[in-house]
Amino acid sequence: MATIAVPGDRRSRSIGLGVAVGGAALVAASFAVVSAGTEAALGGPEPVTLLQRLLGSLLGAAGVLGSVLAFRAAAKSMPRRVASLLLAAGISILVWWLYLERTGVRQAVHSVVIAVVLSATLFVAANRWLDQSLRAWARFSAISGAALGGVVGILLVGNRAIGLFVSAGGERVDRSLWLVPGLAAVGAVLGFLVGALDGPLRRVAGVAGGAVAGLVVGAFLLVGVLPALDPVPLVGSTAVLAAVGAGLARLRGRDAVRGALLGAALGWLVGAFGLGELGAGTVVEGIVATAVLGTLLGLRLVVAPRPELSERLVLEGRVRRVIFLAPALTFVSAALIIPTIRTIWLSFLDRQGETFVGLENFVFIFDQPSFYDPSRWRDVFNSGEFLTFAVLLSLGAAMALRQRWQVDRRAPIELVAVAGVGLALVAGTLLDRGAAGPEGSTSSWYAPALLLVVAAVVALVRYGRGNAGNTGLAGPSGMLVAAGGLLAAFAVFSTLRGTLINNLWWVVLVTATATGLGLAIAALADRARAESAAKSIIFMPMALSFVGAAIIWRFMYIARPEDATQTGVLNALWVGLGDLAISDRAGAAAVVLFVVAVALLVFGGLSLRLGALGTGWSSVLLAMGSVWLGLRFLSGEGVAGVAVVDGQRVLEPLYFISGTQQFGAYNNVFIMIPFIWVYTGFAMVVFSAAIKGVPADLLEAGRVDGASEAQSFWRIVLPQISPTIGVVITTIIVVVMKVFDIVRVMTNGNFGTQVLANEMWNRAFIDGNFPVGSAVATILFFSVLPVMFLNIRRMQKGAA
Amino acid sequence: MSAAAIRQGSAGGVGKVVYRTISTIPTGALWLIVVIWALPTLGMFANSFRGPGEQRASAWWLLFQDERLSLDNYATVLGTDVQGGLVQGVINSFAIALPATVIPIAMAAFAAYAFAWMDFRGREWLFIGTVSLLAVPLQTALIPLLQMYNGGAKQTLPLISRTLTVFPDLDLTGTTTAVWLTHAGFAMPLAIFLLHNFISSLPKDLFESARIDGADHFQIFVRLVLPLSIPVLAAFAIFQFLWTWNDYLIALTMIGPAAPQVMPATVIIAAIAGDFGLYEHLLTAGAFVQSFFPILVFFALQKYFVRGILAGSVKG
Repeated sequence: MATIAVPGDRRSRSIGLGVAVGGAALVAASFAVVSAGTEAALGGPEPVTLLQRLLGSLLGAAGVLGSVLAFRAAAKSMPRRVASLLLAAGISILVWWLYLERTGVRQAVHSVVIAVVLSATLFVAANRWLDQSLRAWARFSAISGAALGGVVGILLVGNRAIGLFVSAGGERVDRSLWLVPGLAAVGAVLGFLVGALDGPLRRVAGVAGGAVAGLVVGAFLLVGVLPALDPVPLVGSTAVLAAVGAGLARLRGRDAVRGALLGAALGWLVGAFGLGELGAGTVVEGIVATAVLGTLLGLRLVVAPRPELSERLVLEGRVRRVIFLAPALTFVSAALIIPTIRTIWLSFLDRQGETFVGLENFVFIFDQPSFYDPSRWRDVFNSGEFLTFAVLLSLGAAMALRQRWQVDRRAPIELVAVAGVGLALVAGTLLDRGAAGPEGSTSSWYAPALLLVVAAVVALVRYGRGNAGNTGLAGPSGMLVAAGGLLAAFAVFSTLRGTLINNLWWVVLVTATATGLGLAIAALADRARAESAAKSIIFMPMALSFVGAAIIWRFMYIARPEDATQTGVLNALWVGLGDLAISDRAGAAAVVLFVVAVALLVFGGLSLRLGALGTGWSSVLLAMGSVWLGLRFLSGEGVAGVAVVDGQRVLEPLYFISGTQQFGAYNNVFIMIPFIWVYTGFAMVVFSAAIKGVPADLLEAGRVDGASEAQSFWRIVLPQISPTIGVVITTIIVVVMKVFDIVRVMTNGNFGTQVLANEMWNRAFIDGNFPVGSAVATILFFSVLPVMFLNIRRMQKGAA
Repeated sequence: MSAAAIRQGSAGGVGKVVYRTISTIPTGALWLIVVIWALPTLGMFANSFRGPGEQRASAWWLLFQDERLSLDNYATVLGTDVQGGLVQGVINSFAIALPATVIPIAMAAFAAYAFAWMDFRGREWLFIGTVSLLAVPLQTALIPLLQMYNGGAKQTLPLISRTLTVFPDLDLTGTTTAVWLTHAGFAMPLAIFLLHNFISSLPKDLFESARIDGADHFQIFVRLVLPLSIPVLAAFAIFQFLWTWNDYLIALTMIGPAAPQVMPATVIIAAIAGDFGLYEHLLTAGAFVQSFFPILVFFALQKYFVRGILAGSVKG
């Protein structure tokens, strides 16, 4: 046994012994309880077997043990200890009862117990086995032989290469599994002999043992795999691979003979079973084939002397790494790497998955108008979104100019250019909209518009490069320009249509909104009263499933037709506002609105004088909104969800995400909102931690220099947390790119809201067209590659 | 904003009032957002106590005008009439989430330790390669995985055209095992990343003194690293538990909507949502039952959950 030399060893061992004895006692006790009371009290329709009782008792014991541990771990106060004890006991009793009562639970528990126990045992056993390589070589060698024999046996039996059938009671019974322990035993003996003996005796034992092992395998070869030995390819491949093996060994500075022997064994294997016709040979040929193979391998084993301690140390280190890494890497390759490669491969095959068809599947999917439809692209440039973009762009540039002028009496040419371009875009778009009418753009306005947009982008980039960290586009004016950019994106996404465009829209809007809102909330909440409670509530949706979030928002969006009461929050507000506007109280409400507007104007004006630009302009805007609303109230024509036509009240609820297509492409946005609702909490938590990590003396220095709260946020905090912003954005992009659950539950891609992941699922699992599904999955995979690349770069930097 | 107001305090009394008003705006805005954020969940919760008639006739905030509030919706979704019942669904969710949490943690801990404290050539590249798989969309792996669970995996060797069975046909489709096996594989990159971040930051002296005392890697791992890593193990466990509990895509793919006895809760409530209109009033209770354990875990262990999220994003 291993001796363990970590400090505190004796004490921990006695504790371990105590735990073991106590655990055994618990198991025994609860076994007695289960056996006594099971069938009478809890027994289901089927009788409970011994194994089930045993496992049930183990569960009970684990529950009791867990309760005790929970009791010990809980805080010092007695009530909390009692509460945790009761909770743990309750859970364990519940699990125990369910285990006995429900077949499904029983199966689940069994598979979990088997998986956990098996993998834990394998890991510990592998480590203990490796310990022997330094302590007792012969034992190590014997165990290795046994394991190798067993694995070879499993592989051969599993692939129907060897088998054993006995006749019992006139029937042929398959006893092939017996061959596995048999081969393991042969391997163990061989391993022990090679590990324990020395000198010529060892060599004889190795060769003879290898031959015997080969003979055993050969004797049980099934008829279907008996090889017809053809001397020419057999000798040929053996010789060629032996030469290759020797050459490789020489190149790596190893013993050439060993390499040659290994190569010869491989060559023999290929020559006998790969090149020869299987099933055409005789039993003798089979035995010869495997016996020679065994002899070659045995010889390879004993040409080298038994390893010295130093060699064993190297071996131990190398194998230990494999033991630690192999489980995880096996799972990663089996679940991610190999399937991804297979998916990409599958996307190049025809529907039967047999013939290579090149890019046909990709061409097919891009030909679908539902997937990618750019036909209306000219309309981008006379859409309302584009107009708003132009307005915001010129406004933002003008504000930035004003700010810059106040600071250092300069008007950078780039900002002037952006403002001018913005105005030109506004004018051009208005003219085009006037000329073309609502039917869509027919003129050639798109060409100058495109040029102007490019010019604006170039100017902005130049300004950003030349004035890094300088005043101007940081703060509210920059926000305006960014919002303009978002609207330009909307103009593109609502005009070009299809699955691919929807996905891009998701990525842009959800990432921008969740990041921006998360950052804003984190900044607002920082050092606010009841900060953690507020953050908890905003963070909570992260604990919900997307399916749950989709259902919750369905109830927000409900629209009842015509005369029914609106039961969704949004429509109730919308229609309620309209009803107020035509009720008797409309006049009074209008007066209130005007008073509010005046107050807001005064407040906004004062704020502007005090230099609080954001607050000031928002108040002015709000005041204008109130005035407009008040005028609508006075007109008696209704507003929002209620219109008055010919003296009749006409209900106009908002039909979110429905077949009415009231919102057209904007149905997508309503499905994005639940996602934003969930992921804002994520962004907020990360940003909150980052903001708290900004060094206090930096903020203090800023305060001494006279920076306002807003200034210190834009100029000190934001640059400090910019790496975190990058991380949050990439994380959200990766999640959004593969959005599936919300879309599937809310619309299943109907009403023009399809996304890549759902398209892939429908193509593959509804239509049963795996290659086209794979093609969509491949598109998805290649669209996350840039993010993957960014992540790798970041990690490299972190490692260096 | 506030400091600017102080600086230009010349505005006198009115300035003070404005300043005070401005300074309450952030908190006001924060709580407005909080209310908006809580509203959808509150609405669902309130509606879950109202029958189909009440839900259609009036809005949920008129809850207290209702003549009767009942637990009927809960009784119905938990019973076996609708899509096999949520009791079985919750049990199935446990049967998926528990192994899908425990198994990858253990394996990732071994690997993270090896990446952090064992020296070998190409270690850094192997690590970066493994962790960069974090971004791979699950969709790219679904079809081959389903084929593997359905008919095993076979590989035809090049040149000699012999076909070997790499993974036996265990007929796993439609079982919870297929779901948690898939989850375990997909979780590995993130788990390795999180645990490696923590384990590699443990002090080096600790390992050196243990080695001098004659402990080998296995003993160091079991005796030193595992006990010290409990907080980060818990953080990842919560993360992974919530993720697998709330998963819909993998469960739907591997189990399908037609096997009520093995469907997890998410698939069941999505199926109820798919029966247009018929059981709409039950969705409220169903969504709440499905979210019960996540919300419990969230509020009880929020500290660890936040830690897991931060470890996964800030340090990267």
